[in-house]
Amino acid sequence: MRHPDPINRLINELTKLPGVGPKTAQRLAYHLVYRPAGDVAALAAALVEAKEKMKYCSVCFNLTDVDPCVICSDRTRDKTILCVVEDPRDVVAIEKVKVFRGLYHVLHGAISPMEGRGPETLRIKELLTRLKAPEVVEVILATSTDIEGEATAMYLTRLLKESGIKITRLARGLPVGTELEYADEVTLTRALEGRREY
Amino acid sequence: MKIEKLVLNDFRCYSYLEFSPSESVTVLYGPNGTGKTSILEAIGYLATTRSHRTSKDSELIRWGATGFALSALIIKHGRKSSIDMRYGEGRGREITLDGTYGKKAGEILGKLNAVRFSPEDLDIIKGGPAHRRRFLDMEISQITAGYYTTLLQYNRALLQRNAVLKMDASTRTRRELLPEWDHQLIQFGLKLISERVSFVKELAGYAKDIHCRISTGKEHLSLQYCCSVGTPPGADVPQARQYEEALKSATEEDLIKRSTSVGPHRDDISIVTNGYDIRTYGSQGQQRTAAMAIRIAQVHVLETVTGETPTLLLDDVTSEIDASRQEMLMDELAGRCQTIITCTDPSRLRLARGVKKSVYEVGGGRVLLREVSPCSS
Repeated sequence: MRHPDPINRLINELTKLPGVGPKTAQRLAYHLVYRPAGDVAALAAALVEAKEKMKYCSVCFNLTDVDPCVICSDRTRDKTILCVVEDPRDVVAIEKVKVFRGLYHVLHGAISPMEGRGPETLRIKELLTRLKAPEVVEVILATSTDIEGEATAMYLTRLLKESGIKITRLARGLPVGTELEYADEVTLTRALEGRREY
Repeated sequence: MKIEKLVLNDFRCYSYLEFSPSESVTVLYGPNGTGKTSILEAIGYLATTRSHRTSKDSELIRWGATGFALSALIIKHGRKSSIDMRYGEGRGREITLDGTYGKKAGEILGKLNAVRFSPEDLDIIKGGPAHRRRFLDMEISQITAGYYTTLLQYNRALLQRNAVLKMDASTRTRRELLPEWDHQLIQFGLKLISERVSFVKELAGYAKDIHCRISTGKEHLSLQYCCSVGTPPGADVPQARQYEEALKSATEEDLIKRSTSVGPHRDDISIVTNGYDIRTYGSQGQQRTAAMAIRIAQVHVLETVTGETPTLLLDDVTSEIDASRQEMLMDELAGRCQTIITCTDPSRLRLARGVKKSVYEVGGGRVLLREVSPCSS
């Protein structure tokens, strides 16, 4: 038997979400129908509000509801260090640690010609404009360690080489709290290459 | 290494088969299309995580079922180990190693060591360079940790570079975007090349001796890795700078042809007997002998690296190989390794004297023991 049309439409919309397959979408759709009307209205309102209120920060291009974002407008933050990340979620991850006190720049992706994403599709031009400000002394490249993240970091390094700004990359190596014997070969090789005086 | 037990569930024509191969020689006989090769295919799948017959896992599911499961109990260095792989439509593949669920393909490569001899081995000699590269990649993945990962990374970087070359943009724009991919191709490519060079060197040493014995000293087989990047005089592996130069000088052509022309994905192995390229000048018989020598050499390499003899899978070799070559093959290997042979007519099989064998008849989705004997013929 087919689902009634309203349920079908809901399932169709849900399957467009990342990580949601047809089975999950079906479960979610029926679950929503069973919920009290108030709960469903609250969810719908939250969806619409998030979409309406979220915009890009005009400075760092992180997603924010106030412009400039809370990090960029925080006067206690160190304006001399800029951490470049691929995704707004990376900002959240680094912020959780509370160790980094500098500012961010969100690229919104990595270079991937296969998917038609060249450097011009990322917020690189905006990064270069920001770096013209004389107070920036260091750029931390915190793009991911896969092929595309590496290529993006290398591309930025190439662009920034002559600027005289110090360029650093996040260290790669052993995860904290693990035993050496369980590390895979690639991680261990990187850890050896990146060893430092103790 | 020995396979103690093999279980096939909804795999090819088998709804359920539990099978314990003999420690020495197991013969599976029966008419064509009864499922002999499927058993070898199952072992090969557990060893390499893919079938030699198809790249689509869904084709391996028994007609009418929705998924298949394979498992093997193996004894390696005196310790028992189990591999379990299952595939379901819509669920994908799940791998369990020694009871630990959720393993990746790269993690179980090399756990079950098997070498397959089949009529298609001739492709290593006669086929295009892609056949030989595939042969190298499969075999090295089984013995070198991390090779498979590097190969995937290299292929990804190569796809990205080729995507730049194929872009709908001016030559200048495309050239501007190449350096990052070139850098990573060099990084991963050099690792691939150096692993392949040392594997071929080791393989060539054994193959030369074996081939000399099989051809009763008349022919000298030599294998050499041919690197499209080029190598400095006196060395086998190119240096990073040389690789960079090679990529650079090919760039103009690459931009026109819109694909990458140098690197391990364009390399080959040269196979020469008595100074002649066997691919173009060898007779069919010479080519078969060379293919067999390379496979036997592979057994020796696996043995040296892992310290254990691999399981040999001889697929339908009697139909293609004449009696004298069969005897040589058996002389080289029989009795030393666990061996599983498929054939249509067991009476045509030549085994060395005194080799213990178990003979099974295959048919109707079942395997029946017909004979256990020390071979007296």
